[in-house]
Amino acid sequence: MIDPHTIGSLLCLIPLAPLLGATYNAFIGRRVAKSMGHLAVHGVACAAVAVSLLVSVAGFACLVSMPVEARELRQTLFSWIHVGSFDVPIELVFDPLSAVMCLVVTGIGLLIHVYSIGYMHDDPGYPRFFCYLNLFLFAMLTLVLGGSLPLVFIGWEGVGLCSFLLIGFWFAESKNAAAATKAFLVNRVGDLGFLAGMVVVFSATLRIGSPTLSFSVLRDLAPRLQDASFLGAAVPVVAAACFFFAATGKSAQIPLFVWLPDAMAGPTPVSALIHAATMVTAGVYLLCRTSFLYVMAPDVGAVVALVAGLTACFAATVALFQHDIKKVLAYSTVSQLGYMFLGCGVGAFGAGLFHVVTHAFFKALLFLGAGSVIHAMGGEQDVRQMGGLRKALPVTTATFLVGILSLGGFPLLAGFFSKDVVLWRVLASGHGFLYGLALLTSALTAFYSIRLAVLTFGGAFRGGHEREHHLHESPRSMTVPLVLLAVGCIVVGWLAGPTWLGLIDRFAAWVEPALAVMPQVHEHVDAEVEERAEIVATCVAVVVGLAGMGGAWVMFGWAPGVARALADRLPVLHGYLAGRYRSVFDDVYDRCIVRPLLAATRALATFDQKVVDGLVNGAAALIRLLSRSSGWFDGTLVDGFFQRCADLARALGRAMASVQNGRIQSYLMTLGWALAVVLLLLEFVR
Amino acid sequence: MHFPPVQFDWIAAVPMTLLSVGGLGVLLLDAKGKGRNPLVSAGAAAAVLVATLLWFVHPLVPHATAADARSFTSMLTVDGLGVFVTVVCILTGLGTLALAPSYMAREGVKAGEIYPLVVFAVAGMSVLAMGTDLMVLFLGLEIMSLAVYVLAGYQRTVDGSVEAALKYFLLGAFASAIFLYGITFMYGAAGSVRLDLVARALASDNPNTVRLAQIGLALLLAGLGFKIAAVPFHLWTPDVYQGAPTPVTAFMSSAVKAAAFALALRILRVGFGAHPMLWTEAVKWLAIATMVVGNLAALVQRDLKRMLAYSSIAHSGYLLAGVAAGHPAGTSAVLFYLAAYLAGNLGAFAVLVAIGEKGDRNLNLDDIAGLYKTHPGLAFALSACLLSLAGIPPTAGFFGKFLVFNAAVKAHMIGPAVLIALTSALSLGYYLTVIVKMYMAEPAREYITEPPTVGVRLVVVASVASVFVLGILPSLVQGLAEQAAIPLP
Repeated sequence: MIDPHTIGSLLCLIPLAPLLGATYNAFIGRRVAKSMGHLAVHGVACAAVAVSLLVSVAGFACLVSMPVEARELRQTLFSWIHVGSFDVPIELVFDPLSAVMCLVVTGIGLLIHVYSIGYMHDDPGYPRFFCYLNLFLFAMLTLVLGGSLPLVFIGWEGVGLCSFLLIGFWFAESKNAAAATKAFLVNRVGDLGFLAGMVVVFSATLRIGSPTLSFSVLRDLAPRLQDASFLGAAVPVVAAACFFFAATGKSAQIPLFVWLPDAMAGPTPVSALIHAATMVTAGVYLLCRTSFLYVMAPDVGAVVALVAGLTACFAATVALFQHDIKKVLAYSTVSQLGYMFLGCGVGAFGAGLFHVVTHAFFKALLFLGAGSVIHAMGGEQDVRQMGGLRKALPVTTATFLVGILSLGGFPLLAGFFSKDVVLWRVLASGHGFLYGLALLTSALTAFYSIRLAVLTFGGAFRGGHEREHHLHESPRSMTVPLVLLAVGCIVVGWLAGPTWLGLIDRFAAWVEPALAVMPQVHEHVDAEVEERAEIVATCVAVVVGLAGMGGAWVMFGWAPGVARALADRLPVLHGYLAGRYRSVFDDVYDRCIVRPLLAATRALATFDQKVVDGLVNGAAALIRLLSRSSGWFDGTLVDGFFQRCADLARALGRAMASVQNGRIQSYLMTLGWALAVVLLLLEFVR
Repeated sequence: MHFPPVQFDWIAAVPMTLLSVGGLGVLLLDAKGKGRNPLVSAGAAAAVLVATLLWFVHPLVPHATAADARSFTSMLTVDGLGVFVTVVCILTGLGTLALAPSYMAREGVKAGEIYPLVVFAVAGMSVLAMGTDLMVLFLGLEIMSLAVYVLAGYQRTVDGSVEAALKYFLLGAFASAIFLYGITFMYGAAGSVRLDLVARALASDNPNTVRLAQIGLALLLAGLGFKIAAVPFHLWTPDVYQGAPTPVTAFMSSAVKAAAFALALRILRVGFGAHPMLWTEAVKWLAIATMVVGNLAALVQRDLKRMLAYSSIAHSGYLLAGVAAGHPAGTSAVLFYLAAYLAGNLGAFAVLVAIGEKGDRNLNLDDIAGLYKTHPGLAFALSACLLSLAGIPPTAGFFGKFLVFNAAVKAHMIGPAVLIALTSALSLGYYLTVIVKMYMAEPAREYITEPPTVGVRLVVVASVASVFVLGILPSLVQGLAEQAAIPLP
């Protein structure tokens, strides 16, 4: 039996252990590493994450042993902002929702730390890398454990910062630095939404007399916020919209997804940890955390679902034509994040969150596998140079295939279950268009994932003999995490064991008490009918998925000429799709924001040079003239005046002081006169 | 004639009894030790002062101040004003006692009577602060003055000191006579020397009474003006302040001034509180003259002690403006100002004690050039104290000036208010000169000064700390000052 109080007071270790690790590697690790080697760096970093993982597991076990409605651990460290009745404590909350996130973040985080030992082995920035990784985990865990909006915001900004640092880890190349800057700037745009949401919530709660930013209090206050309005719209609608805008930044949705593909400039473990498994799901987490707002604003939910569906479909179509192995995975991540938001948008927060979990496994696996491939290829990321890697990299190939099949929705793998739940819930909510979009996306996903696997591992090697010689399987520290993640991909899906197989959806049962429930729009349908419908929907999804996979197999594996022929038949379309298509949003931003901004800057600069400088030069001549005359005026008249004043004050002072002749008779005389003066003064003023 | 039964309420008499008897004890102790061990005498004197201070914070006193704590048929009262000013005087006395041993050792003065004399002077001040009867007040004035006359001439073998004492004594005697003469007029007008009875007699608005009281008031003001060094009664001040031993000068400029202002507030508020038109205008003109003359004359001084003497005159002007500004804002401003002035002034004199050489040499404006390089701590302390005296935030002096200015504006005394601001700006002329010399000029010569003793350090640190604490948290003392001002009529 685990004592909830003990675990509660240990909660702060979850974020603090990585923070200590980061501090260690920031200041001491490099020096210790000189004598003790890399172990001094990654030993501490991994141990810190292991501590977080252990405490999270203990907390999870503790929650399991508690009754469902009481599942919550809290630790208040100190009061941070306290003004009148408004109080923001530094408070960590460990409930089923944050438990899921903590386990995913620390668990996958640990595996990726271990993987990085091998991957970053020869990098001169080894301690810096682990410092940033630990710092990222601190921020991410603060984000998921924070009990109030400001605390979550600290984590939110912190992960943004770490993302910036890690994308630009190899900052000597200007391309990487530019990608990092882009990610940071785009994220900052989204952060505005977060800030605005906080302001809206704060002002609304202030108006009803109990200002707060704490989730638990807000959740209780939510019904009272329903009628409050902010700038003419209902508070929940405005706040939910603001937070969704924030989420589009962090979680790479239309319109702010453009930074994520560029973020692949960072080291591959970073792509796996931050830009696939954890940070980019922060937006989904935020939506789940504030789900009580979304159930009061169904219109916003519909917008979320629509944006998510479009993002998912668009990103999947882009992924079809990418040649860079990491770019394919990046667009796939954007697309899969769309699935998660789609679930949240239709009110199935649990389904969205479950996809977060499964996606964390298979996408981390895929990125790490891609990293292993890139490692073997000596930094090459273009799949056109690969092929036939299955012989040289057997472990990587096997695990990568598990990840690919999971992503593609192959039955009974993790991705299949979670995607299936989302699809079903979209259908059940009655959004026919969105269901169609999601189904199309799942076909596309199956297609590009098999295409990627076939191009990478199938066929013969296309990169030349020189490279073929150097192909090698990755070291143990890299393959072990791959295997573990692959096992996860096979196992984790069963947590939400499909109800149509007679299994219980344990995940939903676990997490749903912490989420708000969308009020039922439709009249209740007969359970048996519903179950049958779900089975049909699942069958449709399976068929569509398998069709996509089969199509890709035919075009790239069985008859590779087909794809080539198709591309040659439609050169313009293919050229566009493989070229500018993926940067269509970038182009729009470039044209509408960046270029006008630069043009305005240039215009202003010209204006500055021609007009202002001209004026200034003209004015300068005038002023020189004026100043010469004013100098004369100043020197002779003004200075003279003040000099005279100062002289006068001194002269007066000397006169006053000179009364002091030291002779007591004259003092007494003055005393007498002074007395007379006072008498007269009193006489006159009466 | 009818004598009311004498109420002996010992509470009111405790402070002065403690001080007088304690002072005698210190005197005996010093005589027994033949003045060979000044630190013992100083310690004993300080103990007496601390004991009195403790009596004020004893739980008995709030009862005494809350109730009608008059005693000796309304000749003494333990009220907020009395307690506040007595505490200021005791703190000044403690500072003087801490500074005196090292100064006296440097000047080669062996005799140890200075310590009991300080205690006696504080006893007189406590009578001045708590007396409510003109005769009692006169008694307090004389107890204080006699002790201070001796203190001023303490260095019997130094011409300047003797000259200072003689001037102070002769002029002081004159002023006391005028003050006493004023009391006779008050008695003639009111038939009593008790201030509350004077007020009652004035309330009848009998023209003869008012006329007599007015002449009496003029004479009292002249006597007061002498003690607080108001222009045109200030002539003795620079000579005496310069000639007296530096710790005594610090004592005179802070404690004597505080006690004299308590006296002024008592007479003007209790005796003539209902007839402000009789005196407001006169006090206002005294304030104006004092501010202007004090600051202008300070501007041309090159000796720091003499400069601080004129600066002390100038501060009397600001305090007088506060008195004229009326009640209760002006009164509480005056009390706060006294505390703020004590901090800055005592600290500045403490630094002068620390850097001076035998015969008070090395206190010229050129001597302190580059002090920052040799004694950074002392230079900083002197800068802080002078900035406080000049009224620059965040120091105590700023709030003092601000409160007085505020009170003056509230009382529609725009002329004096403007002059407070103008003359404060003028005062920067001489305060900043010192700071500029210390920080920006090259040292003129080698300093051979010994490191300051513990007592001097203590005073410097306490003063600088108070300057900043009062400047940043003025409410600590402001509240007390306001409480003290409220019960006055």
